[in-house]
Amino acid sequence: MSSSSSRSAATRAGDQAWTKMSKMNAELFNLTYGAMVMQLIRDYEDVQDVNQQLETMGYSIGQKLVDEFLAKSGVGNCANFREVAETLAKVGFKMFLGVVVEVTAWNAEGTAFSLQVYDNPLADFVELPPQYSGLVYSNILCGVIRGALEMIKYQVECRFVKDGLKGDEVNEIRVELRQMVDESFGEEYNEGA
Amino acid sequence: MIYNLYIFDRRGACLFYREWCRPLNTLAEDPEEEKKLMFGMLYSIKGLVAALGSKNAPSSSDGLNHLRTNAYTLHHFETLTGLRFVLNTDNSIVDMRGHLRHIYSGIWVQHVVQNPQYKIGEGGSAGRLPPAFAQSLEQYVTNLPGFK
Repeated sequence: MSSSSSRSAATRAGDQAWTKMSKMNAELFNLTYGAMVMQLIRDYEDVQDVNQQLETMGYSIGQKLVDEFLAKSGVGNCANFREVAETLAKVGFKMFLGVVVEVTAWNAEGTAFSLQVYDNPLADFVELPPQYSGLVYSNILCGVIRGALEMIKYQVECRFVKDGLKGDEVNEIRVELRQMVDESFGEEYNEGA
Repeated sequence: MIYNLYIFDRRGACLFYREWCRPLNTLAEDPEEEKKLMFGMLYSIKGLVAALGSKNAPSSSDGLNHLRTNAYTLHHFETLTGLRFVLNTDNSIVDMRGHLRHIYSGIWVQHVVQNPQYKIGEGGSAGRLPPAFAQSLEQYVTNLPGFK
């Protein structure tokens, strides 16, 4: 079936891209991220503000990450949103975090899906104390997905629906397509400018 | 012989322009106008190509590849993020898309995208690109076989 062959092609592409990436120490990455979240909590105090700030930071990262992704993975155009989801899960997450992610729970129109992240390297060694139960620790990932997809003209909303730090067995990110981004031009192209 | 290189973002802003050899420039007094005309032309052609193009799933080689006149050849490479690399050469050079792809993945991504001080959309009149990009590009292009 074409969908299963595209899934295994994506997995192969992801593994190949992963071998070509330069690697860094996982503990260093994890602890640096943790220190950053701690600093944000000290700066913003309100947990919802921290969540928002993490998402915003992720958005800026995602906008740049997608160019590196396209350049290093060499994947071509995706024909539809389903292929985008598979590529994101199998190639994107594999390349940058080295983890396996599954795409599940498509809605009827094919405009929303869930990413099951079994292994979240950001949250290794992390425990969430009860006073921070509203904190979405890995919210930066939602921002990265949103920023990256927006650069390839998909405007989406992402949020965590299941979080390993809050007792669920897996992490699950829900990605919902809002609209396709229209090409609009800079002001110099307006009439009379 | 390589004449010049333009890099446009998806909104039409010219992020980078470099000229190596330009025997005739009729728009020398207004370089901004020239860049707008270049982008406008490419945008229109893209619309035409899409309208006339095949019904198969689009691949990365779909879209405008080359534009050839009796005086020069224009090589065009557009990334999925809407970044366009446009290189004008003389007619002795047949295909520069592989090189444009390398300029994107090896030089642009490495020196511009991965530079923490660069914000998406900067360059051209809006701001300066990291100098390492211009240097790497210069080194790469001047060492290309067709450069002269």
